[in-house]
Amino acid sequence: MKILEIKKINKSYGKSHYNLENTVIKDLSFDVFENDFMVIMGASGAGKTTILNTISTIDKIDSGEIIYNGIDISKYDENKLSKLRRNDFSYVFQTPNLIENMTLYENCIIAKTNKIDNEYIDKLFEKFELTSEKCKYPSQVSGGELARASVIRAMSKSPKILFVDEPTGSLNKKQSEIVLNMIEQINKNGTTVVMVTHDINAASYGSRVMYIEDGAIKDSVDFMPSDTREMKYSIVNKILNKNKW
Amino acid sequence: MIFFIVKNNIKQDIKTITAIFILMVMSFIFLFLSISMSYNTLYEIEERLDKNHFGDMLVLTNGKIAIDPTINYISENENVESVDCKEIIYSSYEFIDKKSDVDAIIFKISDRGENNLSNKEIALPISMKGIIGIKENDEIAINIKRNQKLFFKVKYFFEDEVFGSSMVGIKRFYINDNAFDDIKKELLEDSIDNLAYNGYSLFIKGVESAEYRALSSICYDNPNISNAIEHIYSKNTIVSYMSLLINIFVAFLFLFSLLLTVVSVVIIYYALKNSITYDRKKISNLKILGYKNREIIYIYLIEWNIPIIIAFVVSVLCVEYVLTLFYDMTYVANGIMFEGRIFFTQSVTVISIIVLIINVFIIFNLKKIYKIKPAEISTIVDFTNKNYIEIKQGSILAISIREVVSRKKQYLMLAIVCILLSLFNNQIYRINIWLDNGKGLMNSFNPTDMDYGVQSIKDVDIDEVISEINKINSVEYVYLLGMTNLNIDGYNLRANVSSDTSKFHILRGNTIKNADEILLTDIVASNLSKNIGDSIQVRGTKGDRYFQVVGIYECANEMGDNVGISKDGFEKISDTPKNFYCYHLFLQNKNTDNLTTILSEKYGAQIYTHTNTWSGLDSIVSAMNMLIRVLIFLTIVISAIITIIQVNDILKNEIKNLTIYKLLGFSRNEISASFAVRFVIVSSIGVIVGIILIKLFSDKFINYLFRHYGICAYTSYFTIQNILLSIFIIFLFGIFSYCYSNKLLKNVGNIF
Repeated sequence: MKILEIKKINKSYGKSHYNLENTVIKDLSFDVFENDFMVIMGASGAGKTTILNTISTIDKIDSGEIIYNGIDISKYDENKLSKLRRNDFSYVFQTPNLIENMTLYENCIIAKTNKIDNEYIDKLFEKFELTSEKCKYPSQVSGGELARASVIRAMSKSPKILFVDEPTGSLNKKQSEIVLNMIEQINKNGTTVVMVTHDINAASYGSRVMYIEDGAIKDSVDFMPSDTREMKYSIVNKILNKNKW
Repeated sequence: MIFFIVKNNIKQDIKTITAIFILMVMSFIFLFLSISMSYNTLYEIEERLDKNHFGDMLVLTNGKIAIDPTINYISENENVESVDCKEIIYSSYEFIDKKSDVDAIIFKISDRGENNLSNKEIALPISMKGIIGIKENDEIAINIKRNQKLFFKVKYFFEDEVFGSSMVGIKRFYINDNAFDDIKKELLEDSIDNLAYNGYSLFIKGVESAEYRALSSICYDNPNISNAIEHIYSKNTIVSYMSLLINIFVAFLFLFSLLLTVVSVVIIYYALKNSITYDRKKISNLKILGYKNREIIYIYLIEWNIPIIIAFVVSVLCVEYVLTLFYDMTYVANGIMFEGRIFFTQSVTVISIIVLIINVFIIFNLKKIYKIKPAEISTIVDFTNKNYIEIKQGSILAISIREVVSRKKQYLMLAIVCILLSLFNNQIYRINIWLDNGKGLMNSFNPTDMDYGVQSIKDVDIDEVISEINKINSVEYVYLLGMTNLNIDGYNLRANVSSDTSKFHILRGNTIKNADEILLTDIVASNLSKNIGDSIQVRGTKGDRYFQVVGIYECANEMGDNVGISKDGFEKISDTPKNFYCYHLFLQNKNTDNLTTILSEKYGAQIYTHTNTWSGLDSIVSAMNMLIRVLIFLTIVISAIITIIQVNDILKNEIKNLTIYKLLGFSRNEISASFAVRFVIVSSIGVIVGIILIKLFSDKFINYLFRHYGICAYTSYFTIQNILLSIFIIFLFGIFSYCYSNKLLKNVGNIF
């Protein structure tokens, strides 16, 4: 079942130095299905992050439609968008973006909805082995711990869709594995994941991979549930090679 | 290159710089106004008095004096240079339902060197417009005899440098010479029906070394003259009366200027501090590019002095217009249209000192630039060592409290400005409450309490008047109060003589219990260097006698230059003139409007009645109301400016956090509400601190100021008005911060 329908969206940024419009997304259409783990890949400047930002309502589109649960959310006003972000959407970025004058725990508390009690947050900290750090400030913990806290914050409201932008960009291999496992678990618990990455290993956690070039889909692949991570890795690698990555 | 960077910095800090510019323009204009007005008042009234041959002393006598021998006697004194005598008529007057409290003094128009009035025309001082609401071509009635009023049409209004201010009860009128002579002729026929009476006005000019004390002694030492004296005024007293109202305005303008300057200094200090923190990376890069510390300091010095210099230029360009406008607005109340000279040297000196102080603050802040290393990454604020209350719910209130507590320094500017606003506003309101529509001031000026005063002017039996009053309004208590001038230790001072000394307003010590005891005001005690327990020589018409000072009392009459003695004490040293005492009554019904009308119908001008009021009060009360309006305006402007600067600062420092809040689903309205909560928390703290400071120091400070005007018993208290005012200040910050942050947050989007 479709959870997000992207219909012919376009996005340009201002005028360039040569008085030309910088078109980042051009007539892009695709669907995201419930419980998908969709991975968006592409070279630097291909428009991956712009796609993630527009479909997640962080950025406005110039034209087209973004249908969420049957409603075009690209026409939503600020208040409706806030409600959507408060209840249904969550975000994880390359930089953890935690509020520096609040502890890791408080960062998660302010993100949760009223429906969720504090014990649920406690359990998440326990589950992801961050209980001993929960009363520390962002400046007092490691990059890996920050990334984990940022994922816990995203999970603290049980979102319908989790948008993830380069989660392993600034992490070492071990830390990357932990964070990706966390995201995989969120997906397994029923949350749809849309992730932008240039890391083949990270892409192998997905159920679909979409390769973007100049703001349009160049290639895409749907994995079989039976595909192992190694198989997915090899398929993604082939796509990248084919597109002269 | 430096100017390119300055230009860039100004662009970056344009909102703060504009705010400082606005505050400095207002501050400089108020300073220019207060300094120029103060000098104008000081010089112009004296210049006008000199130009119109006032001399050093004005003696107003009744017509029972032999004028030629008197002029000769005074002129022959070695201290006197010249005597200028004019014939006058004292008369009460009426306009519609308004009756005069004090007799007017009518002069011939030729005494002004003019001849432009017909027999039925009159020239009045301009302040009469404000006092009784009279206009050109209106008719004013002069009460010459019982049942005989003469009506004069107002031809024009003139500026009276002697009694022109609306603070002065006594007024000068001018009529045609023939009309004057006709009235005088009628009054010379001694009749029981005469209400007006003739007299003389003597302008006495002393030789250069002559003191007022010596000049006044000439009149008081001669019984023929002293018995005929109605009023006596020194030049200084006239200048004090004439400048009293304008000095109140000057004091208020100076106060506003002080508030604006202090607020500007606070803003500059904190805005610059934030700017350096924000520009740390830029400064560090400039150092890599080879800029010296001194050059970077110049950049900031130029940037922050630009609004001050432009404000100075703008205020210089505007001040003449504003001063003229201010004099226009206060013309009727002041009674004189001042020339409006700008005292540039004095004003610029004061402004330069202020600018210098501001620059000291700027340089003090800029010293931090020396500590910034080349290629330094922006500083990370350390929040780790603080034990804050843990946020247990993601509510706006909890987040706002956390933000305020963890970034205390960021809100210091707002807190300090709130303290200042709270201090100034609450102080003005407390004075207003004390003023109580004039009652507070009246209590300071009246030597004793009363509801109603009645005094016989002719041969009316005052006991008959009191029994008449008793029929209308029950008289609960009666005592006598007379006012005269006595020589106290060589100085001629006003003496308040009372039959009930318990009615004096005692500040320290005791009231008079025996005939040979005396009360002094704080001002007299300090001028004569006398304390409670000291002896003092008092000279009356019967001779000298020593009185013991038993207490310090309050009476602001004659700028506090007066003493209080008992009726028994007075009678031991002086003869009691006829109709000397005014009967002070306490009545059951405090509303006396009806009483005055009935007594006026029955006795006309044969008796003088007065309530616990004074003509100058209206001017002070309206000045106070104007002041409160200006203060509210300034409070709104300052609150708006501070909010703009503070919100911009928060956005600069917290842009990342605000974006995170948005991503977490907090709406723009919720984030704006968190701004409002932060502002309300900080402004509440500031307002409370301001109130505590007022409680601790205010009364002492205001008492110190008021003592210079003879008002010694100023006490104020906290009322519902103060609470509402405090809520108003907090509300202003709350609403401004909500609206302004809401507008700015529209543009806060994705930064990742």
